[in-house]
Amino acid sequence: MNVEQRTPGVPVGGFPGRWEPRAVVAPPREGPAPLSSEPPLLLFEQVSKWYGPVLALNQITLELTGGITGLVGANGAGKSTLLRMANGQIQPTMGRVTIRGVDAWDWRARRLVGYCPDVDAFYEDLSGRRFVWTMARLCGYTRREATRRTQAVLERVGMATRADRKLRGYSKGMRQRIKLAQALLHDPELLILDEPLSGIDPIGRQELLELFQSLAAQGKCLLISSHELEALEKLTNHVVIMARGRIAAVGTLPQIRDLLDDYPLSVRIDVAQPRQVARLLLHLPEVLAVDVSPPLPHETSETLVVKATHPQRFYQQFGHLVVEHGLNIRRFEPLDESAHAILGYLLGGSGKT
Amino acid sequence: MAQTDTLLRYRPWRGVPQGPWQAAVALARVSLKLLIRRRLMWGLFALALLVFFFFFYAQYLVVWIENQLATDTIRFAGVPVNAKNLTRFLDRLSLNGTEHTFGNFIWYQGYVLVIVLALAGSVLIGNDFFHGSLPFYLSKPIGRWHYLLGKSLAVGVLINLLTTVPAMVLWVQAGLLYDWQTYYFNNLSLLLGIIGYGLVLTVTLSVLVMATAVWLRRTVPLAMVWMGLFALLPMLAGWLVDATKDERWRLIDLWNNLYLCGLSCLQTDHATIRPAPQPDFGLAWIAVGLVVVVCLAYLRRRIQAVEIVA
Amino acid sequence: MTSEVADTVCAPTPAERPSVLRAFAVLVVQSFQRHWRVRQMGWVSLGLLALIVFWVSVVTERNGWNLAERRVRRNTGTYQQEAVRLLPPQRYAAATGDEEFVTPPRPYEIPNPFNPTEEAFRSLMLSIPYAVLQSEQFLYTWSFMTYSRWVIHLVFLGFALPLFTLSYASAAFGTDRESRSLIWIMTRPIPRSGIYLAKFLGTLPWCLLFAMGGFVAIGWAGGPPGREALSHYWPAALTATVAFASLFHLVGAIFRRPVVVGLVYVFFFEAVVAALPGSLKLLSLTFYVRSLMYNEAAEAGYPVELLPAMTEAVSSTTAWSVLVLVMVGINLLGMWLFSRLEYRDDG
Repeated sequence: MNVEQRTPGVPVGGFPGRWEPRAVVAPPREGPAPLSSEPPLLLFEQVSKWYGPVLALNQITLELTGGITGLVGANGAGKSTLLRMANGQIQPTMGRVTIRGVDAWDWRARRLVGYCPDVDAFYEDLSGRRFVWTMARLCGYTRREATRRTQAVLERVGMATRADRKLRGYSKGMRQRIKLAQALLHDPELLILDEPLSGIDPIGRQELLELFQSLAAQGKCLLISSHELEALEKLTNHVVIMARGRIAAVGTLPQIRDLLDDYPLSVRIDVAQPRQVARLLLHLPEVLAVDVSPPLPHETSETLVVKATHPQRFYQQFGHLVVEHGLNIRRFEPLDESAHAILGYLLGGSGKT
Repeated sequence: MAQTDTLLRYRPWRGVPQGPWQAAVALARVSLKLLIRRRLMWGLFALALLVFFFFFYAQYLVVWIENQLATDTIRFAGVPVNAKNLTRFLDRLSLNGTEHTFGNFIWYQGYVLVIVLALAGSVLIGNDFFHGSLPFYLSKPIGRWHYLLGKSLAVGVLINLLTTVPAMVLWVQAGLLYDWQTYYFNNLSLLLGIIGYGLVLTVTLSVLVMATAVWLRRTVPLAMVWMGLFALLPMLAGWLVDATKDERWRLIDLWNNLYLCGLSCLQTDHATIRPAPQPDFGLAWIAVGLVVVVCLAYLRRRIQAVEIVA
Repeated sequence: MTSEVADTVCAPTPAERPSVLRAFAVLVVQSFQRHWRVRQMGWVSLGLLALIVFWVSVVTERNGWNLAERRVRRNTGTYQQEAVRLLPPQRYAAATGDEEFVTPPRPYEIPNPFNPTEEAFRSLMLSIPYAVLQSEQFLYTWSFMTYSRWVIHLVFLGFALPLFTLSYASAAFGTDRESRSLIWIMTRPIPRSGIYLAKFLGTLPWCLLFAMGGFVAIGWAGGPPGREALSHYWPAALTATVAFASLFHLVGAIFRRPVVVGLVYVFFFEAVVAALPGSLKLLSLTFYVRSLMYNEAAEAGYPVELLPAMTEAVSSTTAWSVLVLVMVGINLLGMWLFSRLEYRDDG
């Protein structure tokens, strides 16, 4: 995991009140650790942002060093403000945002960042290729180099054969790809993608997810804001969850789930002797309740739904139980460990963003 | 699940839709709200109010000075000043509750009105085309003419707020400065004239705003065309009349044509109109009518075009 | 989709590192091209310019700058006709009813043959207009001043120059903000002050093309006085174009609807303040440009008191200094402001 919540805890005053983020810890890093002398790729230090009387970001402290990080939260949670600030489009009212030690507002920082905004406005009278080429030229490349890079990124986003039409005739998915192409032009270390999957068909989405993964494999750091939680889950389980301008949680989904003491984990277990297993389960200290449900229409036996606290400890104990008693488990499915469910618990709603 | 289905189901709205004409009124209301949310619009209103208050207090001042004429001189900051010298400038504006008072007031309001309408055109109509919000309106059960009517109503309210309504306030004020019963009774036709003038302005300018905004969409070209119509053409018209000795050149000045139509509603003597010479009232009516017809024809053509929903 | 090319091409080769100066130059060109692509503005500008040139041509064709061809008052003839009417034969003919005149003769025009001395003196005095109108030098001077007053000061400085510079300079940022595409420039690695300056340099040729092109066109359409005005006033017109372009570029960077703000400035502030007596006019850009033109005309020996509201013109040195300072100052201020402003048009 390459994301750290640097402050020991996030205040929970204005938060839906059922979760204390004090327990969020920095997970172990994957891959080679950055050199200690090198400043972090993206660093938010006690950043707050006011829009008049509205507090959009509230004392955000965050550090990104690599890999793919998902940014999720309800509308108005402050995701876009955070992304724009990381790209130097807006300045913090308090605190500091740096890219490799350079202030994000400084133009030099933009050499390290590729930004794919959520805005759907282009120079509509240009072709996709011409638009990307112009963006390359505006990065300071020579004509030859700009042409080479344009061709490369268009191929990379799957638009090389369709890029010669005017932008005004593009579908939403094609426009998203062009936006992504311009963000990749200058080979940035950090890619900030605001809703990059919006409007893209399932096949295209899969292609883009593969592209993001390949970019991460090259050592790029991707910060992706998305409402497409299922897609985000496929891409990464490292998420930053935002609510009301604050970082509600940072970490992998299981880690965050583990911290939700107030919301017992629900696990569905299909087993041969459900009632006996239920009795065994009730002896485990982490298990709060076991519900024996009638069989589903296409099933023959009953199903257990277990409510347990501290998911990690429960999983360990359950594993021991299975080995010890030789239980024949046909199915074991956590019911509320998805990003949707976690978000729902954290934000006090259904998890829809 | 079956239980939930019976407990919770979609309950359709059971009201009666009020029809597209009511929708046009709602559209006008929303459009006006869009405009008055802008600080710039309030700045322009403040400018328009300056003109109004100038007329309002100057009209009072003229009456006060006339009342002082018995002494022939007025003590102004302790210095005796000839009253006639003071009123000579104000006489040009005819601040005496006559038809020229209201005609002149609306004429001067035109400077602000033109800028307000350029802004309104780009915000209310140009933006709908430019940012693709037109399909949002047209997806409702209203026709395209209802959309245009709604927007025209909003523009019409703006026009009347800047011209007709303050002119009517001036008429009321004029009555209170003189013998009000006699003034109101004798000059009821002036009130009707003001309303007529407002009506001509409303119809012509709303249609013109719609047509130019649909045509140009962007603020800059829209403002250029409006300034061409209302700043350049009056300049050119005056000189062309002088150079060619033909007062019909003044017909290229739409604001002057509207002024003539307004004065004909106010039943003004043609010989007293300044700047002179002026074309006949009939010609001005024809010119204004032509502008309306051309704009409506253009709108009709655009409305039938596919691009309007693109 | 993820090709081998993609993995290799994105790595910059050391020899071709991006250059911020190149990016700046490209932005200048891109800003210029953006205006070219908004053809509508070009057509509207050309239309307005054509209208002005047509008007100047019509007046020139009908000898409208010439005092002899000007109308004295409403319902009267031209100065030439009026001068002829005041000559003794016409006055006598009018008095005897041999000729009909539009306006009845004034009391002092009625001949009095019974007092030859008085009549001789009266005839002499009333013949002066005719004699004056025979002077080519006087008529040309009058034409030049009339042309300067109405075409250069009123139409060019009061309408064409502010409108064209306002339209193009404010559109440098205004068009991008209106179409919400400014984000693409703001995400490029170019200093913000450089973006401001590049946008200005990209838009300046358009301002010059239409303002100075218009100036040249109406000068040529104005005949001899127009061409002479061209030769005298072009430095002032050029400076005015750059100064107004600087100002409206700044307005475009600050306001969301710069054209409306600019129109209020041009048609209320400049039109009113520049004509006011006292020190307030020193705040008007047009005042300094008019001072330059006034001084040019005065140096060429023309009766400058015929120009509007220019009784307190500042010296050319002062006017030049102020205009240059304004140009430089406004651009520096704009660069400073732009490097601190946040743009959230995309939200």
